[in-house]
Parts: sequence; C-alpha cells; structure tokens
Amino acid sequence: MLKRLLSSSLLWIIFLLGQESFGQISVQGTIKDPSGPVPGANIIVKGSNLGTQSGPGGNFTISVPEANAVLVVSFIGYKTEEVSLAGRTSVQVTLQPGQMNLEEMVVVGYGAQKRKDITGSVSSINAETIQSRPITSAGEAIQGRVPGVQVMNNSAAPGGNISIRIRGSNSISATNEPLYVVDGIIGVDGLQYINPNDIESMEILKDASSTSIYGARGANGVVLISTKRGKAGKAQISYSGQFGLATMARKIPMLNASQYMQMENEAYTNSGLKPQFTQAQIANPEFDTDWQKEATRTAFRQNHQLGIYGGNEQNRYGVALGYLDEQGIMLGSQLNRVNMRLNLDNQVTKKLKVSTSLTINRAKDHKIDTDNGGLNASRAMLEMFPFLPVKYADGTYSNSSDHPGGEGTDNPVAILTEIKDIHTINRVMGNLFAEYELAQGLKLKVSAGADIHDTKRNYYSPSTLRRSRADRGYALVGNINNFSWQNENTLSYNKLINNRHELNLLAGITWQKFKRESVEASSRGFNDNFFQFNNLGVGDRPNPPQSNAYQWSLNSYLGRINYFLDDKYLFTLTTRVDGSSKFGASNKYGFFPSGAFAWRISQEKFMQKQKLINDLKFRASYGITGNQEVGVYQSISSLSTFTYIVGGQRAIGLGPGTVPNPGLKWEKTSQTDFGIDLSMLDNRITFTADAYYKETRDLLLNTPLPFTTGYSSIFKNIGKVANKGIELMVSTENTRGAVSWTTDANISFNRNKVLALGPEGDDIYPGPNFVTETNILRVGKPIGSLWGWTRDGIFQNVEEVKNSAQPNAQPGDIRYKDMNGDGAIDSKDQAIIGNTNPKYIFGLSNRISYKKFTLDLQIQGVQGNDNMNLNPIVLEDRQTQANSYATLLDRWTPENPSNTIAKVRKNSDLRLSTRHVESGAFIRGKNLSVSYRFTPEERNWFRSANLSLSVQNFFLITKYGGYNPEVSTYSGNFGQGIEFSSYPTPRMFTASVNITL
Amino acid sequence: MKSGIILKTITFAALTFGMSSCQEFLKEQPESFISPGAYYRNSQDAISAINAVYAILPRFYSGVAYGESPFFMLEMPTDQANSGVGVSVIDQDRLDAFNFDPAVRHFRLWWQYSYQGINAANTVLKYVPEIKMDLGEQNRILAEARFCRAYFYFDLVRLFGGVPLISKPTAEVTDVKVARDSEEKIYELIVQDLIEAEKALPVTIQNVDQGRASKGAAQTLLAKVYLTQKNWAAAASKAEEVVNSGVYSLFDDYGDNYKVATKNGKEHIFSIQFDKVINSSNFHSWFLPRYRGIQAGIEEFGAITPTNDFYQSFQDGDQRKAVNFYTQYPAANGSGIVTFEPHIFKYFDTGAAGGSSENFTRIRFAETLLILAEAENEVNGPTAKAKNAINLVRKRAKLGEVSAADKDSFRQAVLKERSWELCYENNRWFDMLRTNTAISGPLVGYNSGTGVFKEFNKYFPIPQREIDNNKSLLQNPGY
Repeated sequence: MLKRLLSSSLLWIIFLLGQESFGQISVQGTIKDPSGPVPGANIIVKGSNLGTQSGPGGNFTISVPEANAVLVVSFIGYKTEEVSLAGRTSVQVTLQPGQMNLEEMVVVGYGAQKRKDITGSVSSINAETIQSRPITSAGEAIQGRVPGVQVMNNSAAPGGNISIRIRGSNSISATNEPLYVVDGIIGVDGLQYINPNDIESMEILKDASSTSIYGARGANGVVLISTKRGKAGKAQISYSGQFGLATMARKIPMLNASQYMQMENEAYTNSGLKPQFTQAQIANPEFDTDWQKEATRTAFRQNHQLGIYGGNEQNRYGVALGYLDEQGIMLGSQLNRVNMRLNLDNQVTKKLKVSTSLTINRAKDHKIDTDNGGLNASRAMLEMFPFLPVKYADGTYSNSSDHPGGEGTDNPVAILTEIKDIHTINRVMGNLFAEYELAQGLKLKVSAGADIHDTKRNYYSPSTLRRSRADRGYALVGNINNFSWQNENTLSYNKLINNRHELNLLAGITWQKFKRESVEASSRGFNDNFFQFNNLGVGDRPNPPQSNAYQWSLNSYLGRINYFLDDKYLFTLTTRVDGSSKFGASNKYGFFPSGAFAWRISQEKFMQKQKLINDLKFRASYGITGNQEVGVYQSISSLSTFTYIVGGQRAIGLGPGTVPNPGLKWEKTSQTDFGIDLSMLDNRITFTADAYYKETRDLLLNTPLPFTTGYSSIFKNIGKVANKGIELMVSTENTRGAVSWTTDANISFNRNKVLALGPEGDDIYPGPNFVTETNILRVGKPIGSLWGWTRDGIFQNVEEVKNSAQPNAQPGDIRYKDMNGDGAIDSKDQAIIGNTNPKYIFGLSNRISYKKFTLDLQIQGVQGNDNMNLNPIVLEDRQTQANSYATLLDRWTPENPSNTIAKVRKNSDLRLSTRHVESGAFIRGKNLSVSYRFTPEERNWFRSANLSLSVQNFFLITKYGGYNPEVSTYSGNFGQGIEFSSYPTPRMFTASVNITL
Repeated sequence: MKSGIILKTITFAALTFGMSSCQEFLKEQPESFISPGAYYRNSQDAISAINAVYAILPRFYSGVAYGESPFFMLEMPTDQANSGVGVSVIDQDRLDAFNFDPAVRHFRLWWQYSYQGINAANTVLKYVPEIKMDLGEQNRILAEARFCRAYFYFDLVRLFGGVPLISKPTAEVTDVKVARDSEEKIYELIVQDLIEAEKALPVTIQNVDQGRASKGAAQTLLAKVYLTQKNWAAAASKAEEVVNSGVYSLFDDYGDNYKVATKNGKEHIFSIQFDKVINSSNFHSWFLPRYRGIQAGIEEFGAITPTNDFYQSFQDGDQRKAVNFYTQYPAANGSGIVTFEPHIFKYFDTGAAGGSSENFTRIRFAETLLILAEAENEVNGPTAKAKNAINLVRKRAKLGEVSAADKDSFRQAVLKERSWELCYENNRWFDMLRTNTAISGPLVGYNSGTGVFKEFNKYFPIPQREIDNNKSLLQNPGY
C-alpha cells in the first residue's frame, strides 16, 4: 500500500516537472517607523513565495519577477503595508504601529487565509509570544493566552504531561485533547518533545467551521503548528540561550519528629494500646529529618538554540539546532533534549514548488513520578517518618518499616537516588510536498509524510531498597515503536471574478496509517546491583517476555468552498468524509460537514463615514465533527490470554475476552458559534467575542454489562453531553510613543452537562477511584462531578453520638450527614460534593516598553473549580503508619473540641468526603520579565540583541492545600483536579540572551 | 493548453482514486490476539480453552490486590475471626459486624469471577464437542468444565441464594437482563454436572497434570453438596467412595497441609495453584501481625485475627493449635523475638520472598472423612464407620478418640472437629449457615462483638453493581 502511494506521488513529481525560468529585477529599500529604522521586517512579493527581511538600518534588497510587482511589508506590532512598485527600483516604507493585522496570513486546515477572510473561530500565537518566556513544551505557550483554551501542567516534572481542553470536555471515553498538526503531519503526540523555539506560529481552531476539515478528529479542536522557514535575503543567524534556576515554590507543613512521636503515642493510647515512644525520645529525638528538603534541590536549567535562515528567491533554507538540559527540583529528575530541524523550500520551476520539513529529536527523560498511588517518591516525601534518618551510620537507607506499624515505604531520597527510570525517545518527523500550478489559480499539491517515534525504557530498582529487597533487584527494558505515514493530495483553485466574487475551492483525498509495536522484558533476582538493566540474563527469576502490536488506518475525502462577495459577505462550506478502521464493519465511514458566514460590517457604505471603528466583522458557523480517538479493535470480539499452573508449569489459556459490537461508530459533535471581531480607535483596541453551543452524541462509553454475561463491559455509542460558553478577548494599545504599553486580556466561561447516559440514564462511576468512588457521571450534572460523603463536624460527646446515624461512633469521631435520613451512614449517603470544571478562566498580559527596556507581566487564573485532594486520606485521616500534616496539632481532644479534625487513633475510618474537596481556584503570576534591547547602529555586527531576566510562577494565590492547584496525578478524562501526592511546582528564575546576526 | 490541464487532472484522479480497495485498507486485522471465529479447531485449542476456566480460580485469592475477598467474606463474619487492629479497610469491619452493604466490593468480585468462570466453562461445553480429537481427552476436558461450573455455582448459591442460571456462552449482548432462578434449579445443575464429571475425570492425577480436577475432587464436592442439601445417605456414600478409592490419605503432620514443599500431596484433593514465578499468592499477608517486621519484603497487613473464644476452644494437646496460631516470631532483621497477641499462623510461608508459591486447598481429605462421619451419623447414628472417620482426623491431631455416644452429641463433636480442623479454610461460614449454629449457640442472634446476626444475613446481598445493571434482578430481602 505504502509503496503504491509513494510511487504514485513520485510519478506525479516527475510528471509535473517542466523547464521554465524567472525574470530578475533588483529592488532596494528602507523600512522605518515614526521613530526610526525597523530591522527584521518581512518583505514579500505579493502572490509569490519571494521574500526577505530588513537588515540593520531597515535596509533590504529584493529581486522581483516583474517591474510592477507589489511588495507586502509586515512586522509584528505594525500594520501590514502593501507597496506597488510601478516600475520603481527603490522604495521607502513607513510602518504604522497597530495590533490586529488584518492582512497577515493565518494558517488554517489545508491552507492559509488572510485574517480578514476568516469565517471561523481561530486564535493565533506567534513566535514572539511563544518565546516571551522560557517554556519546555509547546503547549505551555498557549497557557493563559487564548480564550476558550485551558492548558493544565498536570505534572511539574521536566517534560511533564500537559493537558489541553478547548471549549470543555466533549467525551467520556475517548480523548478530550485537541488534534495536533505539525507542518501538515496530522495527529502528532508527545508535544513535550517538540522544540517550542522552532515554532513560527500556532493556530488554535475552535469552531466547527474551522475544524470540520479534520472530520473525525476535529471535535476537540485543532492546534496547527508551523515551524520557522527560511526567507530570501541575507542569511540570518540567531542564537538564544537561557539559564535558569528552579526552587521549591511552597512546602507543605508536616509534623516534626517530636510532634509525630507525641501524636503516635496519643493514637496508641486512644486505641487502648501501649505507646511506643519514651518521653526521653520525644524530648530529644535522635533524628529530625525534613524530607521535603532532603528530597528536593535547587535545579539548573539551560537551553541553547541556534538557527540559520536564508536563501534566495528559488531556494530557501532554515536550519535549527536546539539543546535543552532541565533538572527537576526533585532529586534525579531530568530531561535532556536535542532537536535538529531542516526546512527547505525550492521553486524548482516557475510552476513547481517543492518543500521539505524534517526534524530529528532525541530526548532522555529521567522520570521519577511514575507509579502513582504506590509508595513513590513524591508520596514518601510527605509520609516518611521524620524521626528516621536518610541513612544510618552503616550506610543503609531507612524505610518506614524500621518503625513498628510503619507502612513500609522506602525513604524518598533512597527512591530518587537508587531507582533508574530512563525513557529515551528518538523521533524523526518529515513531510515532503510538491505543489504544481496546473493553470492560473489551479494548484495540485501532493504530500508524503511520516512520523517515526521510538521510546526505549530502562528501569532498575536495586536490592538496597525495601521494595526490591525480596526480589533482589528488579530490571525492565521496554521498547515502543510508533510509525505513521500519510499521503495527502489536494487540488485548489482561486479565482477573482469581476473584482467582486472571490472563489477558493479545495478538494482532496488522503490516506494515513499508524502502527505500534512494543516489546518488554524484565527480570528479578540479581546477585549484584552492578548490571542494572543492562544484562537481564543475570537475573535468576526472569518474567515472561511481552510483546504487542496494533494498527489503525484512515482514508478521507475533503472539500472546501470559500466565496467572498465584495469583500463583505464571506461564505465557507467545508466537508470531510472519514473512513476509519477503528469502527464497526457497518459504520466505517462518517460524514462531517460545516458551513460559516461572516459579514464585514465595516466594509459597508454606512460605516465608511465614521472614524471610531476600523474593522467590524460578525461571524456565524455550524458544523459537525467527530472523535475517533478510542482504542483499536473495540468493535470485534476477541479471546484473551489466561495463565494457570498445571504440573507446576505455566499453562496458557485462551478464553472469552471481549464481546463484539459491529455497530460501533464515531462520536459526533455539532457546534454552533457566533462571533464578533472588532477593531477600533485607530486599531488601538481590538476585541473578539464568541459564544458557542456544542452537543456531542453517540458518546462512546464502556457500558457496564451484568456480570452474568461473563463480561464486565462493552464499548457502545450511548449518551450525550453538551458544552456551552462565552469567550472574550481584548487587546489594547494603552500608550504610544516613549512609553509603549499594550495589554492582552481574555476570559472564558464554559458550562458542561451530561444530557443522556445509557438506555436508562443510570449513574456511572468512571473512576479513578480511591478508597471509595471519586467521580460520578449523572444526567443533568457536569462531567467531573466529585462523589462522596458529607462531613458534619466531629462528635463532641456521647449525647451527640446517641442522637446520630452512627451509634457505634465515639466522641472525637467524624460525623457524616445522613443524606437519605435512614438512620445509617452507608453508600446511599454519597452525593455530588464538587465539580472540577472552572466557572471561568482568564489570562492577562501587559507589556510596557520604555526606551530600550521592556517589562512583561503575565497573569493566569482559573476560578470556581474544585479539586479532590486525596492526600489527607493518608496524611490526616489515618495515623501511625506514616507521618501526618501539621494540621493534626489541632486534632480533637476532650480539651480541644475541634470540629474539623478527628481524634487520633490507630484504626481510622477512610472514605472520601467533603474534607477531600478543596477549591482548585487560583491566580498565578505566570511570568515577570525585564529585558534590555541593544539597538544596532549602522555598521554594527548584529541585527538585534537583547538580555532578559524573568521569574516564572512568581506568585500564586490559592486556597488549595497541595503544592499546586493545577494538578492531576491520574491520567484519563476524569483524573483532572484529582491529586494523590504530586510533583511540587517550582518557581523558576531565568536569564536569557538573544542575538541575531 | 486547456486540454493539457484536463489531461493532467484526469491522470491525477486516476492515479489517486484507483490505488486500492478502501475496504481492504480499513479492515481491522489484529495481530497480537485472536478472535473466536478462527479458534476451537484442534486438541491444543481445547486444552487452552479449559485452562482459561481454571485460570479464573486463582483470581478469587489474588485477583484484586492481595486476594482478601474470600477471607473477608467467609472468615470475617464467622465466630473464628476478628478484624485486626490498626487496619484501615472499612469493608472488613462491616463484614465482621454483619453490616452487609451491597456496595462492598468483595461481593461484586465474587459474583464477577464466578460468572466469568461459568461463561468460560460454557464456552468449553459449546465448542469443544465440535473439535475432532482424542475422545478420552475430549471427555475429560468436558468433565473438567462441568466440575468447574458446579464449583462456581455451589459457592454462588450458598452465598447469594438462587442466582441466574446461565448454561450457554454469551455470544452477543442483546438480551442480558436475566432474572434469578430458584435454589433448587441451581442445585439441580450442580448435581447433574458433578455426576457427569465424576464419570470422565481420572482417578489419579499425573504429576504433569497437577492442578486439574480428579474424580475424587468431583465426588467430594458432590458429597459436600449433598451434605448441604441434608441428603445424608447420598453424602455418606459419595464420601465413602472417595475414602475407599485409596488414592488419598492424611498427612502425618497437620502442618504439611500448608507448606510449599508438600503441596499437591496425598491429602490435597483440589488445590488452587500458585507459583511465585508464574503467578504468586499473597493472601498470607492478611494474616501476618501488622507490620511487626517478622517477614522481610512483603506486606504485613494483620487484618484477620482469631477470636479469643475460638482460640481458647482448642483442647489441650491438640497439635493443630500451634499450626493455626502463634504469639511470637523472630524479627526478619535478626533483632530478636517479636511477641504479639495470637495471630493466625497456618498460611505463613516462611520461605516467601515477595510472592509465595503456596497453594490454596479448597478440598482436602480430612474434610472427606468429616463429611462421612457427619452424614453416616445422621443416617445410622454414631456407627463404627462414623467414629473411625472422625478418629482418623483426631488421631493425627494427637487427640484421643471421640467420646460422643449418641447421635446428637456426635453431631456436635463433628461440627467442633470441623471448626478446629478446617478453620480459616473458607468452610466455617457455610457450616454456621447450614447448621444454624455459632460457637456460643444459635446463629440467629449471635453477637460478634461488633454486630448481631439477623435472619436475613444468611444470604449476602446481590452486589449493587449487578442490581444497577440488571433491573430484572431482585435484591435479597433485608438489604
């Protein structure tokens, strides 16, 4: 199949090659603004790919094909100017400051459009914004910048997982993450391993009109990433370096050694047992270890980027090299990443253009935060007994079972130092396309791309740790190979008729296939820890090897019509037909149409007389998109592998695994969007507002089956969920002149509601669950509803117990609300006790420039959401097995009638309740930076240079009791906002230098 | 020029659209697992199919976390076990106090594993007869499937009462809301399956087949079913067949029943197989004194402790007491002797490092003897045959012969003997139910210290999840 595609593409390239040559006229010019020359501005010959940049002093030279060509001059922060040469070979262009740039090109699915022609809801982020603060993953660039987009750094570990939601959650079982398209490669994952410095622009497509061209993968929104490409003109060499220090931003107050000992003695006494510590030990503990301090460090981060861009009208190149070395604040965690990129654009003949995007990445990720829920390091950092040392005098590590009753966790320093968990990722991603102009306005584009992505995991836990002492060391090596290829063929046609009717047509057919293969081997029983994961054969207890393979394929047909009448009335019709292997035999193909209309009111005659409004556009769109991101092979029945032991040997069984569902099909989301784009007061204020309503039906749900079938669940299309919301964004240019001050602000509101579930609308407990159920899905309530009992203070005396639903309780015990009034506290008293969806999210950025100094300030906030903090279950609700929060000092005693914290004891009542629901709202000082710009004089050796100092996470206002309110230690759709011992969030100080030659 | 464009466009269309069949491109062809359509063709497939049934058995004892469900459900509410101090698992406290909340996950797990096993057994019974293979081997595999199906239903019917009777594999999920059947119908299937099974199962099990069911296993299970039905004559004769087969005998040392070195021995009739490398057992962790450091590298949960009444009930000189209980043990780190309140010792695999190779024996010969003694007494009174059977067990425990002279006191003696001999082996709860007795008197009204047994507690509630997903299923009264 692949071969056939490649050969057909190749045939095409050969078929299209012709021999035609270029005209050459040299034009010189200078770019200025009201205060002086502007270096670095883009100059493009209109209607071509020819372009250059202005050098020091704002000068440029460009070759144009004809004497009356039009030059388009653009620069960030300025209005784009078009200059008709009309035979001139020397021009001077004065740019006017302005924010919203209506002529600038915006990348959309399978093409690019002028901002003024966009009919859908599309937000853009440019390279300057991406680089305005040090980030490791491209996703972070969007954080707080785009309305309707919530970006969550779920783990603060280097290269930690980032989760993005565009306009709320649509799905229960399939992913809610948007689709990523990098230089035309669709469905790229592992964004944390892509270099953000390579990115020229990111476009976030939000409404159905802009996403339905991605059909069955568009429902969660689409993020288009375009990397930097070379421009004609003098080669531009740039270096950027960042040097950062990260420190722990907040610590959680825990009991110290003496306090713990007292507390444990009291717990034993309260349980009628003999206390374990003597008064002498309490008064003078041998050790008093601050485990949060011992397990963390001041971490160093450095990031170097080198880029070379240049070329001429026929051949342009961009070469970039990046190196990142980021330590995490927890000992041992580290990410190293090397990125290389080569982008080429060649005008082979007048009609044939060939472009190449190629990137090679290698990343080495020392992970420490796996094994969630187990006794991992971030949990041990809080739970380890403070009266134990990191190491004893004989050099052995302490663990909590050194104290009777301890749960047996290894100490966090031991875990972080001794366990190796290294993930090495090698990735090659490339896309090659050829574009041929068949006739005036008619272009054929054929592309072939691939994403090859291998992850190797090396893991070793030595026998010096308690957890692997009995195993005598545990080693694992694993390898995952992902290979995906795509072939896309599109025809596009542009035509302007009578200067009134502009028509753009697009049609295409695409193929994509993905294959994953994995293999894993592990062994135990090492006589020496020397070998680590490098020689599994030395272990005398090998585990069975494992391997797995799966694949999916997509075949799609797409089309789009844009029709612009008088530059005033804009119409877009888009459709995609997607066929996916993942779905049932009777439902392979899905149809995803959309339509949009925009009215540029400011172009109307009656608007021409006023000066207040520069541009005003009203937009409306409706369409259907899909979500196919579920596992493979869900529609067919399978046999599972079972293991029994017969005659002392492994006996493999094959028995019922899954039950078939040939009718399985796409989740479909219909979305209506209304929007307004407004630009006024000489473009000093630009404003965008959108309101939307989305409804997802045929929700894929792993529906529980009665166990009497022998199966536990079946994947079915059941249920409906709605999201509606409002997004506002405003950019203002507050002052011009000596002090230039701009503000960008955005705020968005989303409401989510489950409309239907299953045939009978029964509640579903989707997990992740901890002790008791954490989440519930209930018709009429939002996805992300938290589930548990309601606490009603503490029993103060016997009298209160007698009159309660907990007759066996004692004074000092937690009292729960008897929700159904049946006189007993049981599972019927659980209720919805929280909602992890924010009421609104916002971002606020200010940039103030004075002479050569610029101050950047970015604030980000999430309000009205709840988190479920599971930590108090182990750190407050139970005692004697591990250390506890310092809040225990205010526990209930007959003398201290606390109404919040129960009396300490050995046997505790563990269930999720209102105590574990905390506000997850916060306002964060995302970035504060000051930079100084060196302006080059005429003959200086550089074009631009600046130095900057910045602080990330410089303040945090929250009531949340954990390290970070923006947290999730569970993966999946329902883990958001649920924490069980997370990686602490650092505060980072960075010095950066940027030079362009 | 214009014709050129058209030509190029047509060629483009022909090249791309005519590439290959789209249906073929989008067809799912799994590579790392098999779908049933391509299976059940030869004798090897038949063996894999029956292995998948056996493979459900260990799930009860290791399925979620550490396989506590059978012990929490079948020991915690008895008069022999208490919930340990310092353990933060609410379920066990609820079970100890007869507070049987339908949401308790152990009920759900037992139900789930049982029906998973029943579906796998039904799959064997449907597909294996169609395979062309050696007739003897085919009949043996079908008999094993019947044995397992009876095993699952016998537990279900005793735990929950009349449950839905499913005797065909689930092919599709159109009509899944089945109602409950009567206890009689379930017992009918169990008896029929076991009678069929004993015909084709081998009398002795070769070493390479250890773990598979034998004729003696089916017969003892059938005797136990008859005993539960109070069909005394049938129970006695089935048990006697096993005794007379000469295949089984008691270990000289009661403790050998629980040692890894002597597993699959002469007293073991049907054991659930574990191996520390292939699939280890961890249930012993629930019995170890709570984190006292007597065994390195494994969890010491201390969740199940003996009741004082039961601990004190052992007669002087009973060798079983020291196998069942201990109050001290050397610390794993060599720091000396650790002492504690009485804890259950019998499942302590002293050689375990991490997981254990210890089997869990569900049917053993001592019980066959005690079934014979009990049933014979009910039919003919305390005959020599009855006395001989119980005395074999007592002799091994280094106790004197049973002194009971009349039918009633002999019945009491056998019941007591069962409680000592088979304690913590998932029998006591069923014995309490079928005889309506607890250590202190009648079962109804028995106070465990944390709760009182009420009439309706003789059945556990149907798991809430099952009620939620099948509206045709009625909950047991009282819940």
